[in-house]
Amino acid sequence: MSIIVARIDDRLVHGQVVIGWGRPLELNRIVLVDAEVAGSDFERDLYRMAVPAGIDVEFLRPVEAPGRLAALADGPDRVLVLTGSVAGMTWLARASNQIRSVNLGGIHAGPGRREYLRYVYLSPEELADLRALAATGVSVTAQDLPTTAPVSLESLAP
Amino acid sequence: MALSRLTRSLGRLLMLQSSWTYERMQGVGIAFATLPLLEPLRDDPARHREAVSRSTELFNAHPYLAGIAAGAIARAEIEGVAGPTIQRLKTALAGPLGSLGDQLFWIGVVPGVMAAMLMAVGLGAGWPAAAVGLVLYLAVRIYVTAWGLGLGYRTGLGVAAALKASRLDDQVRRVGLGAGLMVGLAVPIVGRWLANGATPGLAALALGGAGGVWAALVRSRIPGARLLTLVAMAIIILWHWSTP
Repeated sequence: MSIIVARIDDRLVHGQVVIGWGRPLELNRIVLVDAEVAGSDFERDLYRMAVPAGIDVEFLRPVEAPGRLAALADGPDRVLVLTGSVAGMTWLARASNQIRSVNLGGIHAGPGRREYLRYVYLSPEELADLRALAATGVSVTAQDLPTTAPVSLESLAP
Repeated sequence: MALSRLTRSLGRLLMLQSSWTYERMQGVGIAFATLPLLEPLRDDPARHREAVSRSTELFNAHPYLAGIAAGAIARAEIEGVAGPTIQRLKTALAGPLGSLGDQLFWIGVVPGVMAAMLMAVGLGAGWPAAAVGLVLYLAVRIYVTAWGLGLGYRTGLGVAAALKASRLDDQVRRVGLGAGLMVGLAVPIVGRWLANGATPGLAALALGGAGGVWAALVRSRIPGARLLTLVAMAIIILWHWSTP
């Protein structure tokens, strides 16, 4: 299994992802699943700049992602899958059978959201989506960095 | 007029981290720094209010490179780029500016300048070397922030292409290699100086600095930097042993 982490982070590709997770887990591929980024030249150019040597990054529209993840699962790469929203990841986890756990890495304050951790704010709809995903057997935990303790969804929002 | 606005914005960028919060991170600081640049929109209060409000939204990048985002956002607002596009530009800039800034400063300029300071102290320059190193570091920090602010403000939505053309990523790699070389040169020189008995204050400074540069070196992902450090150390050690 080469899908090492499936992370929700609204900052997408940034230091916590490429250095914080990339180095200790020896990741060598980041798959960013986001329709708008996949269709935007300037955004793709910028995110490529955030990735240091030794890590490849690819940008997929959601519809392309399940097939690509299935191919990567049998390959040699150590992969981090990234979406910017809860809806994006819950859709992907249902459409692909490669995602067994989901990491809440950075979901920040926004309209209708409530603070659960300093880096996790969720709306009631997002929380319900995550609970429904967890009920299918996918492990859902909040953890911003590998050096911090993971917090399960049940203890986050009992 | 534009120069005056840029200068005021630069002054505010130097205080960027003072308003950091978990909720918006640097968002409020970026808004404060962007305010002078948004003055041309004051003739249209509704548009100005919308632009200022948008600039307070969540943002986080390396503070020394955040000026690139402040300038680009302001230019995009003045040019009337659609709000959602500006929000996406801001989000897309955060990661690269954080990653490049971390590599440029925390594992490039900082260990490089620290190593140069320690080497100068080890070679007998004394405390003035620390002051010169500090001034040099601050000069680089302010220059980079000013350069970034100007680049962003000139290019707006075209900032991605401008960043690519600036070869900032190549400069980051070169600075990292330079820092690796400086650390490699400094470690044996400072080690010899410590072994010969330094004054306690300078020895503590040297030990702290050596710890810092080693920690930065371990984090370095710049290809060749660690090897360059070891080669430089070996050259200095061999040179020292071969000198009567």
